[in-house]
Amino acid sequence: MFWRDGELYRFINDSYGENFKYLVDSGLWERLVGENLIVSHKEVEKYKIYKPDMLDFVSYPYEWSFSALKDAALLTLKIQKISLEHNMTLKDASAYNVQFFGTEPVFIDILSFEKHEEGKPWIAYKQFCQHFMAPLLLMSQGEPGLQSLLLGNIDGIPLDLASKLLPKRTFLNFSVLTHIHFNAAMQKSCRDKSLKNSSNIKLSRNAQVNLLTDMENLIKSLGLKGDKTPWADYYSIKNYDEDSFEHKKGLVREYLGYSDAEKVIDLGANTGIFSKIAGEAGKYVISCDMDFLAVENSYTQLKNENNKKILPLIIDLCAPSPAIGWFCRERASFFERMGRENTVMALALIHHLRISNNVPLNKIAEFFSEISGTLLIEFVPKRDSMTQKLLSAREDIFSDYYKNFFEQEFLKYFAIIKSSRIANSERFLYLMKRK
Amino acid sequence: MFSDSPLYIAYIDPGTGSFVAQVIAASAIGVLVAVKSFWVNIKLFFLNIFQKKQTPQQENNKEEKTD
Repeated sequence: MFWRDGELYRFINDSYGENFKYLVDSGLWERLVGENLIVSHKEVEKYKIYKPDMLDFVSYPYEWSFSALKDAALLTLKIQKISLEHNMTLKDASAYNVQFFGTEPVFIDILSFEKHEEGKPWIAYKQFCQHFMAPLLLMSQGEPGLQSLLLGNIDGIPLDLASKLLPKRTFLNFSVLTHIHFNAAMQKSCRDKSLKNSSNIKLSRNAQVNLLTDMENLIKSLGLKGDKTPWADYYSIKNYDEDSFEHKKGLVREYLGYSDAEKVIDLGANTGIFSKIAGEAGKYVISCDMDFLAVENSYTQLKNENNKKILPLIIDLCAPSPAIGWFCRERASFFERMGRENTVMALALIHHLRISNNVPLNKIAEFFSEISGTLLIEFVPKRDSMTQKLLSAREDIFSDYYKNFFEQEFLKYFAIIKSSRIANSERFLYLMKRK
Repeated sequence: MFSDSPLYIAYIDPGTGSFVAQVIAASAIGVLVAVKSFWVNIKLFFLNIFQKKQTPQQENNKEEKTD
C-alpha cells in the first residue's frame, strides 16, 4: 500500500502478479465485489495499481461485538467457498482482513487469494480456528468478556489455550471436538514435524467444502447467553422522564447541526440511541461503550436495520485499545485511528470518569481536547440520582465536582458555543469547539 | 517478508498438526454427511411406502364423504 496526494493505493508486486491476474481473469473478484463481500477498488493500471474505497474507520477484532466477529467469520468462510468454485483459495484467514461499513462486514485484503492446487488442504484452517472459532466459542460457551484475549494474541487465540478454557461439555459436541480439541491435540503431537513431510496429505475439494459447511453451521448456531450487565438495558430503566429524554434528544440534534465533521465518536454510547440521532444527521458514527452486551444489543439492532453508518465498538475509555504488534506499529491504538478533528459526544459520561474512575476534571478536559474538534458533553451534577448512586458506594472526595469548576477547566481548551439545561433535570448539555 | 525463506509455502504457519487434523476432521464430517443422507433416504423410503398405503384409503374416505 502507498499514499499519493493524500490518496491510498495498492501496488501489486510482481511476485503476486500471477495470482492477482488469476483473481481478476477468473471472474472471482468481480463476483465478490458484485456481492459486496470485498471492498471495491478503482483500477489505475491493470494488474498493477488499484485504489481501494476508503473505510470510514478501521476497527479491530478485540473491539467488535460477538455478532460482529461472527459475521466476519461467516464472511470469511463464504469467500473461501466461492473462491474454491473459481479454483482459488484464501491463503490466510485473519480477522484483520475484515473491516466494517457500519454493520456490514467486508473483506479488504485482495492479496490473500491464490490458485487452489487440487487436493491441497486449506492452508488457513488453523488461522481461521484461532482468529474466529476459538474466540467465538469462548465467548459463547464460556464468558462473553473472553474476547479480550484477542488483544494479547495478535494471531488469534492458541488452540491449546482455547481447548483448556472451554467447558468439558464441549467435548461432546462433534464440531467443537474436531475443530478445537482434536485440532489442538494434533498440533501438539505433530509439533516437531515439518510441513514438507506432510505434502502427501490430501483433501478433496468436496471434503473441504463439507469442512467449511460444518464450521459455518457451528458458528451460525452460536449465541451469546448472558446475564444482563448493568448497561445493556440501561434505557429501559427510567433515569429520566419522557419529557427530559425527548428534550435531550432535541438538543443533541440541534447541536450536531453546528458540526461539519463527517465522523462522530459517541463515547459511552450504551445501546446507541444518541448514535442513531447522529447517524440521522448524516454522520458516520463510531458508537463506543465498554459494556459488551450493550454493544452487542446495539450491533444486532443496527444489523436488522441494515445500517451502514453506525459502527458499534467495545471501547473502555479507562483501558482503550493500545497500539500492538511489531514495533507497536502493526495495529494502531484506538485514539491514533480516531484522529483529532472529530465531533465527540460524551453524554452521561463525565460522572463515571470523575467519580467511578477518579480522573481529575483538568485531565478529563485535556483528554477531550486531544480527541475532539467539536464536543457535545453533558454535565451530570452531584445531586443527580445516577451520580448519587455512584457516590453511595464510596466516600465523597470530589469537592471539585460542580458545574462552575467543570466549565472553568474546559474553558482552558474549549470555547463554549451553546449550553442548555435539560428539561426537568439538573443536567446541562454543552456544545464546545476546541480553541 | 518470507521471500528468502526456504519454506515455499510459508505465508502463514498452517501447522502440520492442523493439516492432519483438518483431513481427519473432513473425513469424519464426510462420514457424518453420508450417514445423514443415508438416513434421510431410509426415512423417505418408508414415508413413501406409508403414503402409498394411505392414499387409497384417503381417496375412499373422500368418496364416502362426497356420497
